[in-house]
Amino acid sequence: MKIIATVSTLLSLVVCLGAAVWYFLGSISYSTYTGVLAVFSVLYFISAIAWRTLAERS
Amino acid sequence: MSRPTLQGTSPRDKGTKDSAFSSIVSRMDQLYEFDREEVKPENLHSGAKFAGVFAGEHVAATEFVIGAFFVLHGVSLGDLLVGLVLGNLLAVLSWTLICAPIATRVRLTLYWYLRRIIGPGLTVVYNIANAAMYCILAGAMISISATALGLGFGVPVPPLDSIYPTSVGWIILAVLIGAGFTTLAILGFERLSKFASVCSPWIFMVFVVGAIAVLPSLGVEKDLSNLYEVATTRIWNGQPSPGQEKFGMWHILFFAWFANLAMHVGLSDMALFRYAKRWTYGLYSAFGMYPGHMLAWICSGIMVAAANREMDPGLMAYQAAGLAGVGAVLLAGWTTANPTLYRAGLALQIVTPNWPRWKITLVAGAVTTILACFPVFFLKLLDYVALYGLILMPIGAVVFAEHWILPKLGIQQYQAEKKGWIFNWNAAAVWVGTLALCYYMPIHLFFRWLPGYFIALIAYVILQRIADRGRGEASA
Repeated sequence: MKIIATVSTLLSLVVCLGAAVWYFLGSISYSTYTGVLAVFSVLYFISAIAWRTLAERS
Repeated sequence: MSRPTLQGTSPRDKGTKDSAFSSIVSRMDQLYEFDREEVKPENLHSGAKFAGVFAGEHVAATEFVIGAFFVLHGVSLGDLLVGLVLGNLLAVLSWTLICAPIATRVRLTLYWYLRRIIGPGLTVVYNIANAAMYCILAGAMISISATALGLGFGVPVPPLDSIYPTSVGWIILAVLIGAGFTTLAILGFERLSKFASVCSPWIFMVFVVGAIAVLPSLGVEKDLSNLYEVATTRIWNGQPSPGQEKFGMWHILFFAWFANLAMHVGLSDMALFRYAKRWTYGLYSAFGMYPGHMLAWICSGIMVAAANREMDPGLMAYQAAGLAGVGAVLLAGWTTANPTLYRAGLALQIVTPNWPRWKITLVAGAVTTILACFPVFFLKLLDYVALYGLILMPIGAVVFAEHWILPKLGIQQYQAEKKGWIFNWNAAAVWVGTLALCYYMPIHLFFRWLPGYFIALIAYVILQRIADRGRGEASA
């Protein structure tokens, strides 16, 4: 579980960064970019809090 | 290492218990009791931990405003980059060569070390001054968050020259956010602090993402071929906005250096570095200065240029990153205001006998919320940051002189502790005198602290020399 949470946390940040680069390159629209950012930001917080909680328990 | 003799056990300390300050001092000691002991070798932290703390702590809501103000003050690209590289380097060196060596030698917080040097009474005054500074800083954080929430309710951000609230809507927003932050701070500081550490990487990511996303609106080509041209003509073009003072390289260099003056030269980060294995751990502050301050300030500069140079952090972040941007401004404000409110409450608790923590946090939150209604604190943030460092700087100079210079000159150290002074009047005179001299210095506010620091050092050494000579003559 801890590995999944860690990977998910890092992946969320990478996807957000990727969305900005794709938007900069004109591959996606502004609404898609901000939508991806919002969704993966929520995912980041869920994963990061889970990762932290699991790390503290172990 | 043995526990230092600063716990009020000297005969003179016992003799002062009847003084007006004795109850305040004892309450203050109780508050800081948890970090009274010197850090033991088995409790020292790794370098990675310091890197993480610095990287996490130096991306705050104020970063949205500071980098943007550099653009509004008409900084050119070259001046910005040279100023940021050198200024942040000087900040790192200040942590490494001034703060960390003292912290790793005495292994105490500034509070307990100050008590030995300036006396418990003056330490109370220092704490209250610090609390006032914290309240203003937290107020600025609330104001910045208000710009984000104001977007949804159509509340305009006050113009750049505003001092007083410009609309009822602004006051309502500031009060609502202040009340929210204060309530959360009362409900649980520690849990929120843990949440803040989760937020930091994400907030940093929003800065970077936002800057990348607004580049097309500034006219940057997909192959970045005209990035330099856009940066020098549309972002850091050397033209200040109307009513803003022109800044050059020295302004940026000094700002980057003194942005955390109270922490490095002012020695507040002794609380952190007392856990360092070696003084060289001060170099880990670079993780806060370069990826943190430098990059975040550059990113917010790009974002404000894309927002037509409007000082509206909420709008700027919304245009750059949508709802995530608004969330970042709110969270950055909250996660920074939360520990600031806590520290202000802790510092104020010494003058509020038997008050529970929630009540003093409520008072600190109320004061902070009232301050947040006045937009001047966030619209003049650069000047406030300069003043914050300047006001606390002389005490840092006093501690530096006491620790390093006095023993080298054969002057007795820790006279306040040894003689049982409640107030080290020499330190008080140096503090007030240095600030008075700085006030009249015919140079820009940003530059005043540096000559002030040397004035404070020299003045304190001379005064302590005189006090020490008096001791010698008396004993002869």
